[in-house]
Amino acid sequence: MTEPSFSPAKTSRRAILRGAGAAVAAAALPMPFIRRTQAAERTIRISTFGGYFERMFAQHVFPAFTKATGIQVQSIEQPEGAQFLFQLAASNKAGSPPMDICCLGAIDVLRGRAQGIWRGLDKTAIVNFTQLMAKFQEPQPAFDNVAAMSWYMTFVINPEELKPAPDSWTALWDKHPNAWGIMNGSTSQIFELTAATYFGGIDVLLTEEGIDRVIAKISELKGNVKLWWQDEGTMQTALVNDEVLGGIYMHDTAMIMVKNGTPVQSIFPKEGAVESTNFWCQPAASAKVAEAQEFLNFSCTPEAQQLIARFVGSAPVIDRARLNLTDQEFAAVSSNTPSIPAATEARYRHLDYMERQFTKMVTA
Amino acid sequence: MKAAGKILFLGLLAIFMAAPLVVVAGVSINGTQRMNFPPQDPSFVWYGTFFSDPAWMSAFSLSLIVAVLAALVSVSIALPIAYAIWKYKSRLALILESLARISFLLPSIVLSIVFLVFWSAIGHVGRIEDTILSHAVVFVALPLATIGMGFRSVDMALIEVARTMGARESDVLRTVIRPIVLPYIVSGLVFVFILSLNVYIIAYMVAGFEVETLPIKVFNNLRMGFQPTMCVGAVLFMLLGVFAFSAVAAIGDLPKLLGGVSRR
Amino acid sequence: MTALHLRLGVLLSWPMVALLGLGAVPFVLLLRISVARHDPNGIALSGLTLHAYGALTEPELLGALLDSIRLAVIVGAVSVGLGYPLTWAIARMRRRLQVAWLVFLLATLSLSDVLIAFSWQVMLSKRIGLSNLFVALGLMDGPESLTPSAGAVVACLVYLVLPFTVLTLFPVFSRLDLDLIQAARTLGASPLRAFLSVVVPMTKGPAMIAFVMAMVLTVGAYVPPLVLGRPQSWPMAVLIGSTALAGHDLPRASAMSVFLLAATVLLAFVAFQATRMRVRNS
Repeated sequence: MTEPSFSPAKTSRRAILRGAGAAVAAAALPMPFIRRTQAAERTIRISTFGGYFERMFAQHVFPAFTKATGIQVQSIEQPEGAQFLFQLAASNKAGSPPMDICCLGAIDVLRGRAQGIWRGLDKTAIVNFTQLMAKFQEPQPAFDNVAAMSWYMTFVINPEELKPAPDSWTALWDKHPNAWGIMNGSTSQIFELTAATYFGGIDVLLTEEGIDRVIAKISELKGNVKLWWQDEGTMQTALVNDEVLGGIYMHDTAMIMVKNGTPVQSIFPKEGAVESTNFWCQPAASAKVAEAQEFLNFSCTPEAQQLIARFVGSAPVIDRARLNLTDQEFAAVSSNTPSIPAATEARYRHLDYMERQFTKMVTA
Repeated sequence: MKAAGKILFLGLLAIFMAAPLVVVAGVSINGTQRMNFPPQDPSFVWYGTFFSDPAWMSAFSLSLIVAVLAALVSVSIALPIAYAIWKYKSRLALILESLARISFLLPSIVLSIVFLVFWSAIGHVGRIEDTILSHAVVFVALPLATIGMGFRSVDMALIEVARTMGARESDVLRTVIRPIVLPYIVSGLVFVFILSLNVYIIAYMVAGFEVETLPIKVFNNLRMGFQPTMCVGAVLFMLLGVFAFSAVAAIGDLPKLLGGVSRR
Repeated sequence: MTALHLRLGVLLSWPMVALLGLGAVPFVLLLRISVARHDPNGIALSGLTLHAYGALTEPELLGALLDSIRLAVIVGAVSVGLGYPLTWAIARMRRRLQVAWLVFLLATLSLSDVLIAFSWQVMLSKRIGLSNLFVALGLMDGPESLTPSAGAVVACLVYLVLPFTVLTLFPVFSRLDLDLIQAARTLGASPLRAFLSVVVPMTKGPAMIAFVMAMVLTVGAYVPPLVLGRPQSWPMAVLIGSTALAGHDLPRASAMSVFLLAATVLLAFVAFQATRMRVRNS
């Protein structure tokens, strides 16, 4: 494969053209107009969660991929929320999905699979798949996703106000009235950590009776909760302004806050932090089969995972032994403490019940 | 005594209404990455980031495009209805007017779910036209109100005189009615434009993916918490709002356009 | 007559398409979804069941509806309570000041409710918020966060609704003929009497319309109560949002929406009947 030379200047000009072109094209013409540039170029559209995530992918991970394979990447921001999958399903059915590869949480992978959105992938073409951690290679009903990165929900505290720093999730239930910021709703990891700490694991959430028991336990800490947060920005504001002593928050965002000067400490409790994983999937109507395989292959390499850990701030999905991260770099994104897995199956089966009962508990 | 009370009252209300604007503007000139208020190390660095980042600029320009087009479409819906009510007292037009008012008053969260389902059901999803049309219909009650006021302000005597002097309907329309109603049409356009800029939830649900307007981009950025760059967009919208309404006030008679009487 | 109908038909064809298509059809869709089978994976428009309406028997939901109504009445009362004298003052102002106030109020419409809610979070926070002012004035012992609280939600919603209140009241206050008040005074009425017998009857109608509009806008508020309020008092709009967006249960969310809309219509009706005002096309 001949490799055209890509200079940084060309890439940034493309970025500006993309920005300007998006404004014009979106107003009048369908999206593909932007990419009608040089016909010989190979391109692919990859979407990731918006803001900082997408920016870091665009600035660090995708250029490395382009350098290795010559495939240009158009980086797209993905909105969070239920309507994302609705819209994707509809546009996929219409034959024109907005991207070739998207990044999803586990439950959306399952939902998308149930609606037939994802293309089945060819395991033989993605040789580096075997480099992933064993738990990400477990067989599934369909091979339609590849683990991309993980992230942790940890016990984040203000170390100056809360001494000594707790080492167990049980501290949430201790006498700290009006102290915590806890994520609200059925997707909140309070479910997992309560189940793991008091009910021996997340399997208790697989039945409605089990969910009720876990919610009853969660309601015991209601008096300690000052803020049931819906979006990360609200909790961040609360931490920055000393409105809360601490609570459940994302480890990667907490580390960025530390870097920016806010005194917070992100603790991996002894029961483990709750680990969620994002996966790459390809909409079935996307035509870029070969390019997608090359990207998925690239994503499973140590090089890509190191970039993700260093710049995106997410936990790698390859064993640490294969990576060249320093102790500090590794601690910034992950931990060796065994983690609590996300209760994907429980949510897939009972999300509406969980949402209903949780809301009842919180609003009572 | 009464005057002092009035000044105190107005002063407090002015502070009340201005306070969030001050907060948002203050955060936007924060020197650090965080949403600090009062701002630390005041600087315009985030304005530089905003204007040089093609993603933010494209979201900003998309917001403007959607707002302008939504305003035009909204007025295109309102004008015939207002005219039909004024000239023909059409019952159909009155029904449409009620429908327009109901659309405006519906909870936006309900509307956006409904629009999402609607556009998905007709298989036309994630396109900019969806956002424009959805905004246009939701806000149509406003230009309807202003243009209706405009028509009602036409002195029937003028029309009588024009007819007596032999003017045809089209002439009457052009020379008598249009100049009187035009300012009201403009103020209707401005209202829809301004409201469309800031209302995010409809655009978010309907086409949040492919058509990333500024408020949507703000939300997509929430993953890493609030950032001062978001407030830059808000300040720009605010300045746009002040500019747009000031322009209307300068060119037209704002109190009159809002239904009052002109005081000179 | 037929020519007239034809003319009207042509004239109103586009508005009809737009309003019926995007106004009436979605509402019909809402009803349709509310009786559809729950599909956790997507938007399924199949099946016919009243299961979702079972939600209305849940006491927590009725509590949320009451919270919506209570919040709406409070915000309506406060916004009209403030907007009435404010509009009176603006209408009496010199022209330049009047225009300045109007532009100022209208410009606040260009800020998204999310950013307004965030601003209120900041203004009510412990570290740098309003409570520090109260401490300085001796009204409080120590700074503390004033949010989440019902007061915070009301303050934020009043902020968002006030410009609309003023816009609704402005026409009538601007046209108020001061000569009438003067005449009443000349005839021996006290200022209060003059106010009650001249101003109040003329402004009662628009004031009620402003009150109802404030209530309706409040009932639809999603972001401010979510961010600034306690979960115990989350109104229906917030629950609808979480049911649809987090719980992925569109039929239930739709049934709740229908319920909320019905309650809103009833609320407006009761408000108008209470003062025996008819909705006028003003």
